[in-house]
Amino acid sequence: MLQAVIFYLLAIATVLSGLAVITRRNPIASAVSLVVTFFFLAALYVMLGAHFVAVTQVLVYAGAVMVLFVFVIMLLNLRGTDPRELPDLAPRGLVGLAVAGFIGMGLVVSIDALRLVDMGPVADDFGTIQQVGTIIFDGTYLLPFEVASALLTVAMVGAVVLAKREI
Amino acid sequence: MFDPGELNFIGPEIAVFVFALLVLVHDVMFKQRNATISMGVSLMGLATAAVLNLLNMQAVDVPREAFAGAMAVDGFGFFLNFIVLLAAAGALLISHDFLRRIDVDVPEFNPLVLFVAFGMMLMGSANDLILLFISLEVMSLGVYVLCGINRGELASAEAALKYFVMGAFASGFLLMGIAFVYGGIGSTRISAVAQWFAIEGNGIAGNPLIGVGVALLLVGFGFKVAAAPFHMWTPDVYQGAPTPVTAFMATGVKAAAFAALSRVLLVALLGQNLEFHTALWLIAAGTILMGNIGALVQDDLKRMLAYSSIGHAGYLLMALVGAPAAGLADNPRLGGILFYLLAYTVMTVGAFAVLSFFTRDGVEDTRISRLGGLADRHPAVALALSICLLSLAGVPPTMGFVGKFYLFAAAIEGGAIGIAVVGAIGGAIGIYYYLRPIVVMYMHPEPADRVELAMNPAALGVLGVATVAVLVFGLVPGSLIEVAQDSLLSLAAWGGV
Repeated sequence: MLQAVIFYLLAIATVLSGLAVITRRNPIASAVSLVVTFFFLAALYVMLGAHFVAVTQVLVYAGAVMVLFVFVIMLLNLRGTDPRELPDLAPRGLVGLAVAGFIGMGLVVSIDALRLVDMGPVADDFGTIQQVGTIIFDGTYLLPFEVASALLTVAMVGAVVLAKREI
Repeated sequence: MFDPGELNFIGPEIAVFVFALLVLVHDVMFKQRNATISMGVSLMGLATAAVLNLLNMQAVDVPREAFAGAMAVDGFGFFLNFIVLLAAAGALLISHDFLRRIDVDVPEFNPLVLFVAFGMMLMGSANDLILLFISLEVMSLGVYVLCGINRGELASAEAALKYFVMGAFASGFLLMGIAFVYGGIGSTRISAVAQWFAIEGNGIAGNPLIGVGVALLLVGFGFKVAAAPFHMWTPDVYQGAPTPVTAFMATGVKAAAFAALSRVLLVALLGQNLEFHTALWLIAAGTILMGNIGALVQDDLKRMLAYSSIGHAGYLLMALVGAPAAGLADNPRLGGILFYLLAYTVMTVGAFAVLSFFTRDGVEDTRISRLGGLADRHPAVALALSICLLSLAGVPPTMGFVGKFYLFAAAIEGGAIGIAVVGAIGGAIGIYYYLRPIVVMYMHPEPADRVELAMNPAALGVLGVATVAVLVFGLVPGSLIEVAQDSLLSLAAWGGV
């Protein structure tokens, strides 16, 4: 019961902040609303027992990706344009709503028709940080984990090559 | 548990990575960078890796797992490692003088090539979809940067951006596919997927997640190997990237991505699942036709080779369509896939070595008309390029002919007559457009505003070795074919087909 109440509170908050992302005219306000959405989503993941995904959601999305968004918004320097002078998007919004509704209906129908195989319940600790850590370091995913560090090295070298100024 | 002895199996990968770091540090430490030392150390890294790979190859008779099954240690992986190392060495040698000429002084070039080779080698032996994805990203990130290494040139920047945006999108498809497959069977190990399919009653029909997952995987791989209808990026990116990078993309990237695709298909998916055969049939036919017809109308040799590389991916897919349901041993001709990847690498590197000579005031100019009169001025270069092009066209007695023969044989023996007919049509078109540059070289006069070819020993060496190899293995392919067939048959150890 308590879980259902918390879930609905979080779900409503997620949808509301999601709506704020697309209704705010000020891009920074939109971006901040998006951060709020990410946090509520993370809370929903925690309720699902997916602790690791929740932490990643906060670190990567609410943290790194949002910083990138805000940077881009500020670099674009929208100060010159008054947000109120932007064209009114309402008519197009209606078309968008219709298309989104159509796709959403399609999704609902096809997921409903989907007969998934019963894979059996997952272990209680599935998705917890402890379990993710265990399968990485007990060897199951040790090699991919180590190769990920090589990936970061390449990304770093590549970023320097492309971004550094001519000397 | 982790067994340190297993580190031997990624010895070649570690060697390449360590040498890449060495070159990187060397270039940072010394203000007056010595390009020759940097090149020498890079090549030493590749040579060390080749030796370690050879030792592993001799030490491992029976295919085995390593790192708790994340990596497959088998002949297939060893063979691909050699192809990757050759492609990397070729690209490095071609780039040595080329980068100086187009006025690109980026000390990170050689390390990046080595990093990319590291990712490619892991791709070939990944038995885990996550490992496959991460190593594919190591490769892709490196190649995105290499494409845009000539920042002053608009075409190069365009190529890099185009490749990056589309490539990132394709990677997303691939990752989504992996997630679906994991959701469907509960494991990311490729051999585990094979075992799951082997259980009576398990199939796509009863488990839609797998079907969706595999469809997404095919999209992701289709992009990386430039198969139709995911090939649209290829001509622009291949043309815009600096020639040595294009050579590396056409050979190494294609070979690694195709090897990974072959492993997934042959081990886990083909065989029991007729649905995949149909999908693969359509992709192969489209790829062969799109590539070869597109190449017909090109006036730029580099762009033509880009289209032709699409066509070659089609021939390889054609052979995969012929994969038998009963077991790999049923169709040993499939070894032609590995042989052809090697042959394609050798002859393409040769052709691109010649292309790298065509620069004018630091800008590449690879129109076919520039080849006019080449036979009079530099008969040896013209002859070598002709041999490489004829090999690409599949004319005997070249390596390309032998490889193509085995690909067609694999498809026909596997009962895929229809796709073999499409392949033959593509091959016939191919002969026309590969002959055109040769005709221009031997029959057309020099262009009035000709420029001296920027020949250099390193690239000439690559061209010479490639030409000789194309002829030698075209005349006596026996032992190499046997190695390729044994290497491919080692996949049978993982179940599935």
